[in-house]
Amino acid sequence: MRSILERIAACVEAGKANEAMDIPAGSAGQPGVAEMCARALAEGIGAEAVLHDGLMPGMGAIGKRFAAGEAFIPEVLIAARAMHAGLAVLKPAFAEQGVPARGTFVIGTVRGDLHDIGKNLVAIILEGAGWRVVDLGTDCSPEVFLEAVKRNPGCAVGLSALLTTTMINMREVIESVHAVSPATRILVGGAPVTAAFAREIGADGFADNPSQALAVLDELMPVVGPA
Amino acid sequence: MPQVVEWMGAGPRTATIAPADLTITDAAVARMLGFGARSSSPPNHVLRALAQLRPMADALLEAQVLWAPFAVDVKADALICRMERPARLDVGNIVAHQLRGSSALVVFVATIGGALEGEARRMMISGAPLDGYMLDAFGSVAVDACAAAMAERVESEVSAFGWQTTNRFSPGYCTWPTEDQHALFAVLPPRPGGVTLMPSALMQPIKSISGVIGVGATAKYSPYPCEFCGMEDCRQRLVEPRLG
Repeated sequence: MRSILERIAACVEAGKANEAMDIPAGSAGQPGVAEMCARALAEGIGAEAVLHDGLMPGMGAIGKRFAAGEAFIPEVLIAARAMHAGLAVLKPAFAEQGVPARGTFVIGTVRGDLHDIGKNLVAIILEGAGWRVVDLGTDCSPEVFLEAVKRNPGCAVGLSALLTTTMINMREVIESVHAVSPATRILVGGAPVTAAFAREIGADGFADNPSQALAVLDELMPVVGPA
Repeated sequence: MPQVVEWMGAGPRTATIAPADLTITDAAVARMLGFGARSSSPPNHVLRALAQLRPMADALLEAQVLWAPFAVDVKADALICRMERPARLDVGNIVAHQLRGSSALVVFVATIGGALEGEARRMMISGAPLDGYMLDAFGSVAVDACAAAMAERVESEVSAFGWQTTNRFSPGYCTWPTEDQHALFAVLPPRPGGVTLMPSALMQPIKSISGVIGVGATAKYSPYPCEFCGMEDCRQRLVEPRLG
């Protein structure tokens, strides 16, 4: 029999946020992520364990299916919604310190570009995976990114562009940020951006979809365990 | 042919296209959402959500087109619009090859306006990202349908004097540099169809398409233009499987 944490993970992956939700079809009336998280807490399982061993593996599973071409963005967003339903239940249990953040990720669309759907998707998926996201919006100058890096020490940065004419502006941002903060990891993505272009402009990582952004960030900024 | 002279001389035309005249299928939106890449159809709850969004999405459409015909010389990798001061479009050899046989060039801009993209953005950042994402995908299909509706009108008009049309081609596709958007806009009236061009070559509203169609007695439509282009990650190739 599956543990409650395994069932939470399965519900996140399926997008079953709560009892009322009929996703997957025919599941209305059965407990979803919100109810199972509440039950896990009532059974004495710690909020951190519910987060790390229940919710996050669920998002990880849908991310793997996405990477394998077996799931698509709408399904990932439905899973993220279920993840958020679980986080809302855990929030009081984390009391004053709030849900512990995996790290801070500053993201924006570079100067000259107003596209934001891809950027928003990355922000949603990363928030679902526990990152604190600072969204700078669109048409962001290098100065805007630089200011955000100064305000958020230790953050990683994501740059988005959807045009060949604007992706070239990524280089200036990378050079500006690395000039004052060489250790800041910078990830780039967007329809015309390739891994080769990312290397050429000095980016630390490249992702062509939100799930890959999460995986690349995990590689660039691994979780540091207790000493 | 007096009909041709009259048609060519009429200058830029604009039209508003009603949502009912745009061909926007659930299958096309599902492909835009990514589901075209696998054999099964989208899950029922995605289809249900799409159906629920549809009336609102239709109401947000403000579809407009502007197109203008020009006599053209097709070079190996460029198109020269014969105007008082000839205008050159550096389309590259793939597009130029596809347009050989064209006597005239229809330069167009199609848009669905800014209302839909504004609402999609609002949804994305206010707790309804799935609806926002689906609405955005719907908008992408809608603007393509808007350009297709304009192309049908052109086809219908030129067929009256025995001319045919080529495929539609846009800057950014088939190796036609996106930067050339500026040259394309330069041959049209200011803010064609209400669309503005940023210095970065981004059109506003974002859900807009610009491009060209070749027309002429020996112009040819190719059902498989992607065979001539090496852009493997092209959105058009991914979204429209028959082109790949």
